[in-house]
Amino acid sequence: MTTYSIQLKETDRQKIDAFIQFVKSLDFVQSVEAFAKTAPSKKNTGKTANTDGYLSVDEIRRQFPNEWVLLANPVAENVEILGGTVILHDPEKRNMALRGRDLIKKYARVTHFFTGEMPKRATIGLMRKVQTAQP
Amino acid sequence: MKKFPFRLDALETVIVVQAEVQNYEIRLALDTAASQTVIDWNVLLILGYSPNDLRDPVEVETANGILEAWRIKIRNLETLDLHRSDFEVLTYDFFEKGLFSPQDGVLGLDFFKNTILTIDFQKHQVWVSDK
Repeated sequence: MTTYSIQLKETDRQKIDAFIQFVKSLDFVQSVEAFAKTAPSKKNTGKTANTDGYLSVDEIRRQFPNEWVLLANPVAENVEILGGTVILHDPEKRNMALRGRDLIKKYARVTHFFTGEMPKRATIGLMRKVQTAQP
Repeated sequence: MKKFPFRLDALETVIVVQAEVQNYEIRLALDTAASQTVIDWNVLLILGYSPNDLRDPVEVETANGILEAWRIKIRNLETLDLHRSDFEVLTYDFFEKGLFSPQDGVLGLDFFKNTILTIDFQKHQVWVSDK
């Protein structure tokens, strides 16, 4: 098996996703892995950010187990996050949200995810509105 | 018309799609049984919304029981090539309600008003058109 590295100059995520899908669809391709590198943000003081460069999801899980991670410039394949630049991590989602409010303004695209295991039965379906309470 | 791949969750009961609220990427459960779209309050908090932005409260029945949620108008919501501006959603604090979910909310039927929503369970693709 031969491994090739392809550097993309395109930054549009949808185009990159489409490209990855196309490469994956080729019957002679065994696997595709993304190793994106992003330039460190000049506005980032480093007081809150723990890493400046790109980390894969596996690396993030190893470094920050069971934490909510705020991720800048995320690389994703469909709905699966592959990696990004960690700008904040916190065991509590609420803390992540409050601490991250100002930080996210420095980045064009941000997302978050939990590095631990989610309960199998987590259900968020809204079934119906019961009533409108009086303000 | 662009088709979007979707992922079924571990129990293959929830269709998960990627969405953006003001360039913040989230994952929503597409729920055709839900009349309204719901977004975790923590997501809106991080985007700078405050309790002052909350409108009147409503009680909603969920799989986890009856919860109090709040109406809130968000600047925009984008998913499946469909944009909604000044879109009213329901919100409640997933964390406070003990809800620990990899999804950040529910994409309800109100988002698809006046469109044609097609879900292909064979190819795991979903698409929306307005004709």
